[in-house]
Amino acid sequence: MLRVQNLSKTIQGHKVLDNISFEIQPGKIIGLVGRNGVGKTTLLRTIVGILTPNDGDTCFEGQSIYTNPSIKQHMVFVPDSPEALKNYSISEIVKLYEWMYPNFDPNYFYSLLEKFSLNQGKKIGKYSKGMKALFSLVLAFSTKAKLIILDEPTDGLDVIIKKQILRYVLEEVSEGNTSILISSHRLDELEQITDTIMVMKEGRIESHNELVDMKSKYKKIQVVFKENLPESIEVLDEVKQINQIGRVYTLLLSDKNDDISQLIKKEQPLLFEELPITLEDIFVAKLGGEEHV
Amino acid sequence: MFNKTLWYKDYKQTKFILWSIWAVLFLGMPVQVITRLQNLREYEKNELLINPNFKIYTDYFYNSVLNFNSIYVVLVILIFILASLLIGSERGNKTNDFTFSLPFSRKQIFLSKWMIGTTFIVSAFIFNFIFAQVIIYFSEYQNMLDFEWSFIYFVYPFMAFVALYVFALFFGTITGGFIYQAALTFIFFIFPSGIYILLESFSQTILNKELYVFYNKFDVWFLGNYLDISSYTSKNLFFNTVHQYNMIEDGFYSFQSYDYQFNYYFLFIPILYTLILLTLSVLLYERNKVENNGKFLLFSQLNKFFMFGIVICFALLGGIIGTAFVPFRLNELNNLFYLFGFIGFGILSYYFTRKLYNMNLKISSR
Repeated sequence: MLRVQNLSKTIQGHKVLDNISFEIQPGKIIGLVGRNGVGKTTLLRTIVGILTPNDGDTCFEGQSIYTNPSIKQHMVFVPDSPEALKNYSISEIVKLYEWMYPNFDPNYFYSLLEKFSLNQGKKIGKYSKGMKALFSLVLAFSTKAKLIILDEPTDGLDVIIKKQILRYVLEEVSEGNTSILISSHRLDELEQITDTIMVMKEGRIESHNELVDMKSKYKKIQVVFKENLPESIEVLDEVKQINQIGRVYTLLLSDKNDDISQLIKKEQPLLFEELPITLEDIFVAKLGGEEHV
Repeated sequence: MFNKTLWYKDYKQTKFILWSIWAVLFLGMPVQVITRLQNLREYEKNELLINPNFKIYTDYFYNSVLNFNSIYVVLVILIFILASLLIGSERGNKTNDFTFSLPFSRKQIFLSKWMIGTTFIVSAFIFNFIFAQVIIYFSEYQNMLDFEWSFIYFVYPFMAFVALYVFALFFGTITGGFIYQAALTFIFFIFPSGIYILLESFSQTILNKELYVFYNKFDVWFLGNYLDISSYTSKNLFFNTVHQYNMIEDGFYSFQSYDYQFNYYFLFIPILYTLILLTLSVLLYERNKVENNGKFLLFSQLNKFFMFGIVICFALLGGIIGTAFVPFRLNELNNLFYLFGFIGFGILSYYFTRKLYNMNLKISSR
């Protein structure tokens, strides 16, 4: 449905996007993960045509969004706040979106506003931050677009709103054929809703995997040795030390075939316990340095 | 070309200014004409008491009743603000991101902005000008109305406003914010007169030459000169007419009258401005680097050009300021003081411009 081909973008001599290619299939939720400043927002802004790439193309259903921008009727970009619409009343926004997006469903939109208790008499600028974020989502989903691109939709929101938003996103996708590309720092949140995770590093897509696949590639263990972690294990590329408290080590193993686990067991640890793996663990392993997450 | 979504969005963004244009022209044209006709009646009555042969000539009538120079100054300011709101202010918040993410090409987006402004300017101007003519038509001065004169008083400012609006939009396509766009529009609007003052002083002080003759040949090409309200000799607001003095002796008084020769080919100047700047603006808007929003210039290729221009202009200004400090009766030091000012201001403006290039006015850069 959406095909990003060899997208590159240089801003002030710095290559922010470097030959990025990926595809999004209908009905999928794709999470975009990466450290601060890695180019996630730039990538999303380039995909929707706000920024123009130096190289490459973004095609939606076979048509380039740069040369045929009208194809963007089927994709909606939701920035982190609906700043541009702050002076609009609800009815004005409905009018605007009905003209812009042929499949916009006003009845559905109003029913969602009611469902989330969003005051219809207010201008958007008067909404709280959480209400604005929720409103943006409601508006985007009411367009019935085939692809919705969300940039940090839960950034800075309280837990209750966040849960509401994530549940809503899942509901929407399960009901239809909408695809979602979502960027977030909150790995735990992405884990709950995404099918696929794209990890960005230094302006490139480092990996693009199904979440289940990703988790199966790694193993998280807690081990205790009589002394320190044996050097023979520490030096292995497949072993990433996540944490150490005294002699208790938490390790992440790129261990498809159990070979590394066997090696560790040979060193006779006092404790060898497998822990449930989270997306955050993989993120740390792939992008290095916990401090950067 | 018309797109109701973009039109609605742009209207919502600028409706206050758009209707201000209508209001200003309504108050400035038809409403003011009523007062002016009353003044003219009084004037004629008084003059007839002194001179029974007194007659109001067409040129006097048009100049005192249908010359809206002061209103045109307000209109020019409104037009500059309108263009800066439509393009520049979008760059300062996230509206530009929103606009560019919509299913429209940048060409459509730009032309919609051009169209809404032009429509309001043109419609307000035509309606109010005709309304003013109608008021005169139903007054005792009906016979003063002359088609050619009305046409001249209508078409020159009309064409110039259309051109000035594109002129103001054009600066939005190369600058990164409201303030920058408004400032550059204004600076380039007065630039031809400004650079003349700066160069004339340089030429007089350093080269001992007058620039007047040279300048007078070309000044007609600058839109800003249409706003030369102080000069009634060869130009008027948005007019370019060449006229001769005729002394009229009527027994009691001798007074001046003019023979006018209208230069219709001057109309090509605003038409040319409109066509060239509109094409150029579309091309530049399509190539806008949104990542540079908030900066002084959107295209880094222009940095050197503007650096050169700003430094030279400030240096020339510094020269003029320098000569103001020449002690009494030491005019031979003019050159030296000019150079001090020139170099000092040149260096200062160089650092100022570098600072300007590094500034980012964007409220949110995410």
